Amino acid sequence: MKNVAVALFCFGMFFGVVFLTVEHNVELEPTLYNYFIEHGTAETGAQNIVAGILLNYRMYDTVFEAMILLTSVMGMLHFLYTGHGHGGGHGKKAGAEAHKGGKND
Amino acid sequence: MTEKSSIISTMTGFLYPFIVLFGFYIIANGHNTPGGGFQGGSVIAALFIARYLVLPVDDFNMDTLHYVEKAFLVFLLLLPIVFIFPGLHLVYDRFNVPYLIAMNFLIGMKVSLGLTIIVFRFGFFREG
Amino acid sequence: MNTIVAEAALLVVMALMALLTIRTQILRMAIVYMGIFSLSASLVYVLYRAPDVAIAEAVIGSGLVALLYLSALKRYRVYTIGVVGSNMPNVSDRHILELERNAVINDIAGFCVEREREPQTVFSQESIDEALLNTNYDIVIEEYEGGIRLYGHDENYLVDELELLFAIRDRDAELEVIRFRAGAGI
Repeated sequence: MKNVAVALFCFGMFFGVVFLTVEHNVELEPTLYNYFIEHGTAETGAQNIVAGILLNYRMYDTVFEAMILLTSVMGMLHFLYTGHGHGGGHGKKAGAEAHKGGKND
Repeated sequence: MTEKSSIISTMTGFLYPFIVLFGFYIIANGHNTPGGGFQGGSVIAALFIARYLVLPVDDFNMDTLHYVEKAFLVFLLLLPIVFIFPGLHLVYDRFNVPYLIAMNFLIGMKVSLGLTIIVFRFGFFREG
Repeated sequence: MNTIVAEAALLVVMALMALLTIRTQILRMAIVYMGIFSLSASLVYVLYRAPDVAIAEAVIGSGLVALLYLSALKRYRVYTIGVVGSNMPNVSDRHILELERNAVINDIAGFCVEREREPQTVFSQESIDEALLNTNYDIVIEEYEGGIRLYGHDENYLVDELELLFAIRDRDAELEVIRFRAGAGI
């Protein structure tokens, strides 16, 4: 019964959101769009305006995306610790220690 | 993946230079054509992964990869801090295109090394 | 017009592959279906005029992710069966118990072959608590006076089906399936 209620709620939310967005088609003001089309190439020197926006107008986003990749690599190095930098098989004890709790099949 | 397949190894050896070329083309022309650092970097990471498919050995030092990746991250942070954030790109606008190419290259190297490290960590991880 | 037909066909293929991915019983086929799903998604991106997203999707979705899943699958191909307490001295009906244990091991092995896993049996001297803490075992068989207990991990999806398999078969000796959580013992 609870599962049915949850499923109904999810479907209701989904269709509600879909119908709301179809009904209220908000037209954004095209100022930013027009600005990038007009001045983008001249200001950033990029023919591909996506690269211009990513690397010039929205540089903060790109920098923090790179930080996200660094964070994921750090997590990988921490949780899949093999005791030594290259490959596995060297840190048997450490690997067993780190994975005492998790047998995920 | 466990047995050695001559079809896979031959075809990977044939495709190897084309993958390198495609990856660096995407990175170098990121400011003119679709693509950029992230896409080219993941194509170059696919190169290392093709090597892993053919020859699953870890005969190179992963520590070096980590250090090089962090060095690329430092440069990746330094370049926009020096060039974009003070507003220099508005004054010296002839450096805009070299800046874009350099940033695409740095991002591509960083992404390819990061994805390679992640995949190799999974591939060579042995429990216990 | 052609673009619309191609887009519709690709979207149908995507939905079909998504369904097949969750419905198939063979995990390796599920990975292949997921790769095809990603490739069709990247073609759809090309039709939507986002070639850069399409490149990233094709490389990551069908290359890196498929390889990660394949290596994870390869890692867990060997299904280790631990047998504990097989040389306890004061067990009556030693003979029946041994026959029964071998039948159970044979059943599990046949089940594993059906599921593309390689069964491997380990007879060990350690106590049941040590064996449950040892993460190398996928399933632990304990013999005690009067029966056999099977210990399967809580999150091991094969144990559900094994439990079903043993529930519908007649046994000479007492047999029960027990779930445990990793790290916490029984």
